[in-house]
Amino acid sequence: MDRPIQEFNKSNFFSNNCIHTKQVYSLLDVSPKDELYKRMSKHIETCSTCQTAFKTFQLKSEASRVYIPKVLMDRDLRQSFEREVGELFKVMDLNEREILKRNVKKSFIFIDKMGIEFIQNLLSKTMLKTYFFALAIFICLKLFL
Amino acid sequence: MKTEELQKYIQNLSPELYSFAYVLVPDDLQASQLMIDCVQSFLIQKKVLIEKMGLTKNRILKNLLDETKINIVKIIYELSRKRYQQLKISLAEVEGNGGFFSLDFDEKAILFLKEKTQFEIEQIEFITSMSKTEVLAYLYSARIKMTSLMPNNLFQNEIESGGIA
Repeated sequence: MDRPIQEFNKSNFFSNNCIHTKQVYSLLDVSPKDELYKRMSKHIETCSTCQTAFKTFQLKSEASRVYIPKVLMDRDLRQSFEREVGELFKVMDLNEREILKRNVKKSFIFIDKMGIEFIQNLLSKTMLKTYFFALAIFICLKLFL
Repeated sequence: MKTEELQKYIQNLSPELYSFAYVLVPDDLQASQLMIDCVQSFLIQKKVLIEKMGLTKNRILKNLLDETKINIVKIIYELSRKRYQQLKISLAEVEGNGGFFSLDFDEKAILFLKEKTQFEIEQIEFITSMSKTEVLAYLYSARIKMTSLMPNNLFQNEIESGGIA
């Protein structure tokens, strides 16, 4: 990583006349809201050395964009990818109908569980005692009233 | 939102994903396999979220597609980083030709994301799990390497005539 930086510094991009020249690159990538951007853009208005360095760097960066490849996808590869994605959605049960089915199934399981628990509670010891106690009260009331 | 819509959205992302995958691992088959692995990984990681998406109204989940894209790009970056180490020797020839492919792995990824996909620096931070300073440093380093490919006096006339704003 160091070699190109050294070459770049030697290449008269950054003159030694201004200590800020090494930071001019930040104007390309830093957000305009950033403090560094504000400081540098203010400085660059008054410093011709930095202005020239920035212009050179900006032009070269713009021109170097053509060296960044945007690779096009082959039609067969694209079709194959689309098919694979479709398969993945199927395998992962991510189709709308499958999700709905699962949710309905879950709801039925929940209702089933509630019903079973209700019956179990009706036949629990506490409930049997309650029935017995209620029956005793009922008989007493019938006999004495 | 229907999950079918998400499926179509991912399918339509293929040219962008392929381009990014190829930049990181410059091999046709490896790049396309990387994309498939990345979608599979995304579906496993976000399965619960995707299931909820299928049953929620459109307007609530409008931003989710953008999130999907950035998450998939993040997974591609992470997977390709591991795969790059394994394939490094076989990719040496492509990298040896110089130019963009001779940049370091992170430099290539960050420069591509910034220049070709128009992601913001904050989004690149998320994708690469790096700090802002690290991202800017890699970007700077990549730009320097790329500009060093051109002769110094190439734009002398434009600069002297104030050709750019």
